[in-house]
Amino acid sequence: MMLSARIACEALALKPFKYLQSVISERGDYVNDFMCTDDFITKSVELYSDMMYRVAYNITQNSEDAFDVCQDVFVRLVRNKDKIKNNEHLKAWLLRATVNCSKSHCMQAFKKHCVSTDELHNYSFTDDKEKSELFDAVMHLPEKYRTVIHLFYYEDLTIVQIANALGITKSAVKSRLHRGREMLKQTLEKEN
Amino acid sequence: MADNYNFNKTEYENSVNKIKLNNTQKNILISKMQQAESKEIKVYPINKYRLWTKAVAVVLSLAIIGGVFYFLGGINHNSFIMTANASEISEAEVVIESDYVAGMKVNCLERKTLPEYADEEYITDWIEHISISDLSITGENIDTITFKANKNLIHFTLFPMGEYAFESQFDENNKPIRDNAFVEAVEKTYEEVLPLTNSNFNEKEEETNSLIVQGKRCDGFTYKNPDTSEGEQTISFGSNVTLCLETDRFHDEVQKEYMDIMQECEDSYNATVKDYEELEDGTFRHTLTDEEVTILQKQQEYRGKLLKRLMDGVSIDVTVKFKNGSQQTKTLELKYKRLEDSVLKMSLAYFVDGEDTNSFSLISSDSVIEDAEIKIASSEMTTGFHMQVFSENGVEPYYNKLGKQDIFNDFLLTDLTIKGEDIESITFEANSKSTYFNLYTDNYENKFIDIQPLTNSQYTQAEFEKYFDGFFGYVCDGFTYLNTNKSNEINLGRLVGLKVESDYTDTEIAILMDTVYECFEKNEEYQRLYAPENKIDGMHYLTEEEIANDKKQAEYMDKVIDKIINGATVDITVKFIDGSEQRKTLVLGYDNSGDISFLTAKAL
Repeated sequence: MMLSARIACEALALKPFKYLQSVISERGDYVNDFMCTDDFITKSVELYSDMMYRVAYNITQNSEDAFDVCQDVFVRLVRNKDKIKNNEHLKAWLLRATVNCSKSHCMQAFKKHCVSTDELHNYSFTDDKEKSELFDAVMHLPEKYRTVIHLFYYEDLTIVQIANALGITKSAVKSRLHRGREMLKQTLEKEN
Repeated sequence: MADNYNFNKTEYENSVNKIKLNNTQKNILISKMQQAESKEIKVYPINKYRLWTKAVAVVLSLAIIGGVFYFLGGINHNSFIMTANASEISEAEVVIESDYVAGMKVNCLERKTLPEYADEEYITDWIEHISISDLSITGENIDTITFKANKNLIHFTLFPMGEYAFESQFDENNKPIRDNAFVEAVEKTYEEVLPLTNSNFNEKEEETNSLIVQGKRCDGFTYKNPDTSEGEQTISFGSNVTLCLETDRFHDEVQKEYMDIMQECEDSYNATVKDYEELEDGTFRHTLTDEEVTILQKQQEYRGKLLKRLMDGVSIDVTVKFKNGSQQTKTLELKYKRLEDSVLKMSLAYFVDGEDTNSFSLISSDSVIEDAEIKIASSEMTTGFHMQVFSENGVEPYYNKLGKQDIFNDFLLTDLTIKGEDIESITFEANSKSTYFNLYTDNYENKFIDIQPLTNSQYTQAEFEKYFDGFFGYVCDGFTYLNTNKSNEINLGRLVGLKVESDYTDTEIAILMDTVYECFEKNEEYQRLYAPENKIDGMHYLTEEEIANDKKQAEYMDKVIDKIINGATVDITVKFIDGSEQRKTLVLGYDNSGDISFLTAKAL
């Protein structure tokens, strides 16, 4: 049976053995309205690009790198848009992809330039922006704390949503928020 | 309460609001997306579910024959290049993924008359047909192309262009009938067909056999290019030519051994009772049982060994004649590499063994990994993730076959560096259950190849894509990384993570996991109890109880990971430019003594 004498060629509709059949992959059942429309690209950028840029900036601490990350993620979105089920999923997907991409970017940047850890903390604004003490202190936190703080306080995500975006447990989110706040408190009290 | 720090949300928001993209940047993003949508994105094909009879790979590598000029990097007059899967065949190995054609059994009844085989009741050799449809020849002003096999028992079977034979016809005595008209058509298609000498079975012997291949078998052939136009052309023979590998059990004890084992497996498989489900299109589907899978796995394993043995030392001369009368010959050496077998979830790769003239070292944080355990990966980034089902009604857990929800931990191999000179590629293989790789890449630069199917997990790539939110890339038991940058130090950084999956089939782990989930549930309860009352600034402050519960959860999770990781091994094989290889095995460990837990390794 298995090695019986039958010849299968690529050009054929293959059924060398009638009792084995390949599984056809399933498509998602949920399709968002704007995912189907032609202005999916414009709307995605309009709705989410600033959010992604800020998250990327929080992690990379560099506006050029943050913009590069946004470009990477949107290109990936185009390739993966069939997997997106609805608007909410899109936002979560973009967030997670941005976080992952930003971290990869950090690693590559570190390898290329080999800057010292002190220099890593010297984030830069390309535009003139007012820096607040609090913002400054947040940006000086270790990355795992400042990201959680940003997502919680600025993006208003719930613990569950943050856990999903970062791929960590809810407990880890709570712990990091807790420790991040402790560190902020210590830093700001010292400065004052 | 843990602290009473009052986070000034407004101040923070005012600062962050100023971080935004301008219109020019947004237009750039839109433009990038539009470009991406219109481009055909090439991704190296990961293993997809296919019929298990498919996916044998023929690996062709080009050897430079002394005195023959080989022009790399472009097409000129009087030269040609060969490609497979759109990749040029040069010094590197190029894999032609070939649809396996089931071997044709040829009963050599006539050989029964030979005295030395008189004791054999039933003598069977096989002819394995391998499709080389992905092989193309590209050049300008091509007049003819000649293929010639250079080893005994290796030959070709030709079919007329656009036609193929699928099954034999039989006469009233159940004897196969050769379709002579078909054979004549073949002979007309090709300018010259070299007589068959590289076979133990000539046409006359074929007629005595149970099956006839409705094609023309030959040592080689010449094909005349019918396209007389000028300019570059690409010619491929598609499914009209198969490469034939013939067994010879009489003279090769090793082949005989493999073939006997394969026959035993086939007999065992045939002996089991099968249930078939009839499908809408009239075909039937049978879901393989574990026993059947084991049998077929073994058969495939030995088939791979047989094919490798048949292919060793085989070469094919390809001669192109040009319209101006000049010609060029290149020789392809064959190697066998088995790519995948998704139903059986196997992947066996056979490489030509090379001499160990090169070496590489594995280092981590500038320390060579030897006997001492060295940190190679950190779990800082992604820990404790679940699979979930997303629906209009919300999110629900996705359970494994035991009705439990698994937890996945990821260790990014940020601290593992491979150092060596002239490294061509590095292959990583995870050898232990519940440990496997996640490649965080869409592989658009095709640096990751030979992505091995996932067998160390309870889940499939498809399940990860569907239920693991934010999942990106590929999960696999192993992969090969191409060192196209020719680095002497390779660190894959955050591109590769080692995933560790909980395993409820292990009783001890199951008990630990139950405790982990008890802590999860307690967390939820604490949230309900304390959060409404303990809210300042929208933030819930952890009580001592909650902190203790968190610690317990982390402690038990660490025990689970420790149990899975400790003693697990990863093989790292480095292939060098000269073709030699060296393999090292890392034995993994887990260190969770600090704030961040990490993977350790020592060399075996």
